[in-house]
Amino acid sequence: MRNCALSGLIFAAAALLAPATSVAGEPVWEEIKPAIFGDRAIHRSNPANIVLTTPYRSEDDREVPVAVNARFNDGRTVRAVTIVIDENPMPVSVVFRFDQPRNSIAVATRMRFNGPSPIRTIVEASDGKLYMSEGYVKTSGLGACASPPVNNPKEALASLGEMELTHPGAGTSRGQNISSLKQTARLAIRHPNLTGLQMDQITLQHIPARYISNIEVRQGEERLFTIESGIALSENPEIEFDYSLNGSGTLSVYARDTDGTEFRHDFPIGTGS
Amino acid sequence: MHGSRIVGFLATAALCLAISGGPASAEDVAEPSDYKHDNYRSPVPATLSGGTVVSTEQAHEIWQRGDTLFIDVLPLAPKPANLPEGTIWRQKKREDIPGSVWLPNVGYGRLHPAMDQWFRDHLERLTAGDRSKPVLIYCLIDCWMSWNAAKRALEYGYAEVYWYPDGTDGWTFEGHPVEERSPEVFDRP
Repeated sequence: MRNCALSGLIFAAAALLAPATSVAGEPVWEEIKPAIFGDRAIHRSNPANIVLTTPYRSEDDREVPVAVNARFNDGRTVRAVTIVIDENPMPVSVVFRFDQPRNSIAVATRMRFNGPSPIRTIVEASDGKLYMSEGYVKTSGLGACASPPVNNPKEALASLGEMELTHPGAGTSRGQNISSLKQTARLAIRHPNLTGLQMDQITLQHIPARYISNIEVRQGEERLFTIESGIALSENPEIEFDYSLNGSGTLSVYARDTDGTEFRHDFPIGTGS
Repeated sequence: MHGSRIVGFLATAALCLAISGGPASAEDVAEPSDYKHDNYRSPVPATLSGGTVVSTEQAHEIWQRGDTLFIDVLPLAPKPANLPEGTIWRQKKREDIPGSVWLPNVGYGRLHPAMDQWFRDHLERLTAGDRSKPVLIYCLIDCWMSWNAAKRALEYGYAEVYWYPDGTDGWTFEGHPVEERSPEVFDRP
């Protein structure tokens, strides 16, 4: 169904970069920025070499691949990465907070775009400074947040919270191998991520929101990062992230949805999964 | 292809363009017998049986006459009740034809009985119970919801129903004024 939508995004050298929007005339961002970041300064300079990768035109508004790469070369590390989709009813789409000091991060996921919109990523450095990079995605106008779920609700409930963790590219010449410290993992969680904006064709009322709101990933005892997420994460969300092996041999994932339902899974790593 | 036959090739190319035609015209979309239940943002028909289809120019003339009830049916989902604390929620501003009333969600293929009654009640109130009062229904361009809602108004017995398929897209394209509008609240259980 989706060819390559997410796979290898982090590796992709020839990424499609969305053109930067003009700084002036961003009324929606001006409106929501104070609610998210108060009066903190947001710099448009790019000492972190932030690259925000999105297609300029989405193939499927419900699953738009989005990747963020950032690297500080001045000794600072990445504390957090926020992704905002201006025109979505819930503009703050996802926030990654990194527990381990890392000068570079690479993350990717698939997101819902409710309509054509600027998308921006704000990277917080270890010294608290904020840096932003932005792009734009033209959508087909589906109104993805209101699009009905693809999967049958009974099936969705039966598989709720099932997880899979793979290391894309492992075993290939371009990919990683066990002896390489830096790994890229793809976490897939079965969840309908109901937005609350979808109309139920049977009851003729809106399906209540129920979506994954929190994720934590640990490597052994060390927490790698936490995620706060909203309705912009696509149905059956997939998240790619990079990390450095610490020898513990296990990645542990915890997830929680807005109903308070918790999901946990441990994945052994280094066994060629 | 023969290089010396430039003129012939261009003529053939022109013929191909003429045959293939441009984008699908409204006449390509047949009017269904029932309401439209999905793919609401797709090309719409050119007719509404029992109603009058109007262009932007005609809608503007009707608007200037001032005797017609203008109804916007753009869908709007309510803010979900169970959002985590601190979640930022932003409702997009709606700019409507001045003087119109925004009754969201009455253009879906099937309505919940409470929603159907809410639509009936608002139309009744706004026309002061006069089914002969002209009503014009719109939304966005290429959206079946305004067609559905206009069809519904006809079924309720309104005698003079106008369907304006180009909606606010067509209206603003011609530079006509719009004003910010809040939706009527759906207050039924």
